Amino acid sequence: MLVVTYIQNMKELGLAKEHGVSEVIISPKGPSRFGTLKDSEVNELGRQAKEIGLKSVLELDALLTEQELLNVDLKSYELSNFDALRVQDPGLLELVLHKTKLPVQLILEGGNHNLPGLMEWRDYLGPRLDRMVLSIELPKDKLQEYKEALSVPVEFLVLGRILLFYTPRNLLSAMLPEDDELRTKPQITAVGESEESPHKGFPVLENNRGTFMFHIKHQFLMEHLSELQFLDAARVDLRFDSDFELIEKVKDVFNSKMSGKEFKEIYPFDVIKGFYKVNKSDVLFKKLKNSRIQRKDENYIGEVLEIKKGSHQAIRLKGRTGIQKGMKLLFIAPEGKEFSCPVVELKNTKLEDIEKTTDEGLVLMNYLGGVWVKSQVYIQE
Amino acid sequence: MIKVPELLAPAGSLDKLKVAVDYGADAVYLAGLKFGLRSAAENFTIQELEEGVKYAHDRGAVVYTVINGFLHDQDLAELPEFVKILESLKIDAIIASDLGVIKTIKDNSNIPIHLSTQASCLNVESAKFWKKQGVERVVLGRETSIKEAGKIKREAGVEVEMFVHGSMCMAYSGNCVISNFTQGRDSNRGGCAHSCRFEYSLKFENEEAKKKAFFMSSKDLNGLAVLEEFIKEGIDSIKVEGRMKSHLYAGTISKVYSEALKYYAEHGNFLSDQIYEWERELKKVTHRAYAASNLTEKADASTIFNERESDPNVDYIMIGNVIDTVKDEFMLVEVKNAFEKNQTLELLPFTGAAVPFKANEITGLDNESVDRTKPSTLVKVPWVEGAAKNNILRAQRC
Repeated sequence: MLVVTYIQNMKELGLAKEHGVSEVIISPKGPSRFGTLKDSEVNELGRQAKEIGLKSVLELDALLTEQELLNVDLKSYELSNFDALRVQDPGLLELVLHKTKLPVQLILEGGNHNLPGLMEWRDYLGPRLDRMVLSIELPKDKLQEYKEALSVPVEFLVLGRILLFYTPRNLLSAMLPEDDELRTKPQITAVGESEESPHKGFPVLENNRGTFMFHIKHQFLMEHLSELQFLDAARVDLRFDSDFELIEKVKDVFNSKMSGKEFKEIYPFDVIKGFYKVNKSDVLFKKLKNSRIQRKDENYIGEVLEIKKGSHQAIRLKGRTGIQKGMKLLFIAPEGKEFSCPVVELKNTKLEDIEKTTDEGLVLMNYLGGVWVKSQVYIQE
Repeated sequence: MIKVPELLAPAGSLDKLKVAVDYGADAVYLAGLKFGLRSAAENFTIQELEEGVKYAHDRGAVVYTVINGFLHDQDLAELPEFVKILESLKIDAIIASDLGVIKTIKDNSNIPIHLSTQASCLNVESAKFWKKQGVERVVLGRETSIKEAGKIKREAGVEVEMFVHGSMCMAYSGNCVISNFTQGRDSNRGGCAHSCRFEYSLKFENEEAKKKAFFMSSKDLNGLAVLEEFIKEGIDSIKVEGRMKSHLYAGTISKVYSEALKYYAEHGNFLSDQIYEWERELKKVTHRAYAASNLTEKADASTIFNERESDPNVDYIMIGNVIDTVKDEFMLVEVKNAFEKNQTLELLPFTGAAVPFKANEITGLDNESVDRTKPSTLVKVPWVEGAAKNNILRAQRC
């Protein structure tokens, strides 16, 4: 398993080499989300990486509008010094496929949670695909399954910040007075506490690419590296507030010189495993609405629109079957109680007695206690 | 007649579909009980889908179904059957955002595929990529300007659809997972908790004190003032957000934009005082402060809705909807908000200006006189010329 990390200067490149990092990611200020480097610095780092025999990857991972994409000049990078290009935007992917011959590392961390989709991406890139960067919302079992089925190199974030939110708008500077000196800085950072969440301390960053919010805790799978040996590349992200010198300890964990647990003790951030064990982020959906007022098609008649105590209940006919006298109906109230009742009286809205209805319109039937407005009405079998 | 974009309205339920179509939408988008991004919406059973398609098609409108979640393998397992049902129901297109979903649709049907805004397609090259995947139309990311959208259409050779009105994600669509990690609810499978709408205390790097701000909340999009730009750039479809919103919203927005588009189709301009009336109408439905966001220039600080959402924030409320009419006698109304005898109400006809009238006589179904109505009751009010089933009644908030 390769260890992949970001570098932002010569010192970090040296440390990466010294501690046996397999590959470094270099991000320019323009078309990458968190890049801070000028093109000349990017090229110099690429050149140096090549000289010392370290695989280097140029990261262009921003999402770009048409004008922004037109502003990307791949010729400003000395691509011969890089071993691969790393992209997320399909438009940038197309540009890279057509204008360069470099292998591509495709970032599929935004969604892409099913095998057929991943296979489509793989097949589209064909031999140009160097690696797929998979979503950290995938649990380990899925990762392993996908790795086996895809038969292409895959990468996964094992250590670092979790990006929660990405917008091109400048949200932090907008909250500062016009003369605030922070506004002149290339990056503005803040820590946010949400009124809705028990979590406190979301790091927020604004740069030339927009505004980003991160989880309060870092993704941390350093205790599970032995289970992740099937991965081709493990990404370690020591940007932002981290100390790059931690790379030495990181490599110690990869080389089994230090346990993940010991490393966790010295790691300066709170950590989580995220969805590593399981992803059940859809189980709460059934609680988002009252399923009892959700129509079921079978035997459906309609919905109670009005109750007049002792007099009638008005039913709006919505199903495929009308009502006729003598029919037995089942009412499911919004709180879940069920009532059954035969149709004894049936009237139209002119209060005329009728024997049966069509399948549309409004009808009044004999009152039944306990039934509420919005109760769903079915033929009782 | 000048060609104008299709008006695509939200249909959170079968009733809202009928409202949107009756008030002039050319197309509606809706979700089945699964696979969409609004798990809390009523959504459509199979029979409702069938009824909705028939209702729309009978009136010359088309129906698109959203399957735009980032689906997991277990979700995909049920998808082929659903897609086949959609094809049998003659759904006009499916809106999808995930390559696995797109492949499943292609493998199981010939239904046209529209790329969801969730895929954040923002440029010509990206649109070309999606076209190669079988997509006929791209719903562009909300970061795209109208001019860029026109260029994408011309150079990529795909239909383009843009949002024209409604709530906005502040994040690139599909690029926000706050709910996933803080609430255990996958925002990209229908569980968005709208974390961007809450207040945050921000502590900047150079300050001790915290600033409280709704810094991630976006103003609502309103593209009425730049409608001509959409037309001139040949945008194929303009879309209204809001499957979770009310009947009043669905009806009003559909009515305003359809009337505006029809006016342009006939006259080739918006040189009419009617534009002021349409603008006033858009302010009569619940909304945050409006902005044009990225439609003509890059969204700046002024597009942040830095205040707590308040309700009521508009002067008008929905009184009810017309269930039935008896000409020259009465309108039967399902009451949504209470009103009183002699209160002035407004009937919102499918075309033309709202008609004010006094509810000088209110009776129940049993013809007993009613002085003050209650929500969730049915009442008769005086008939108004032009009233039709599914019309909306509204009133100024007292």
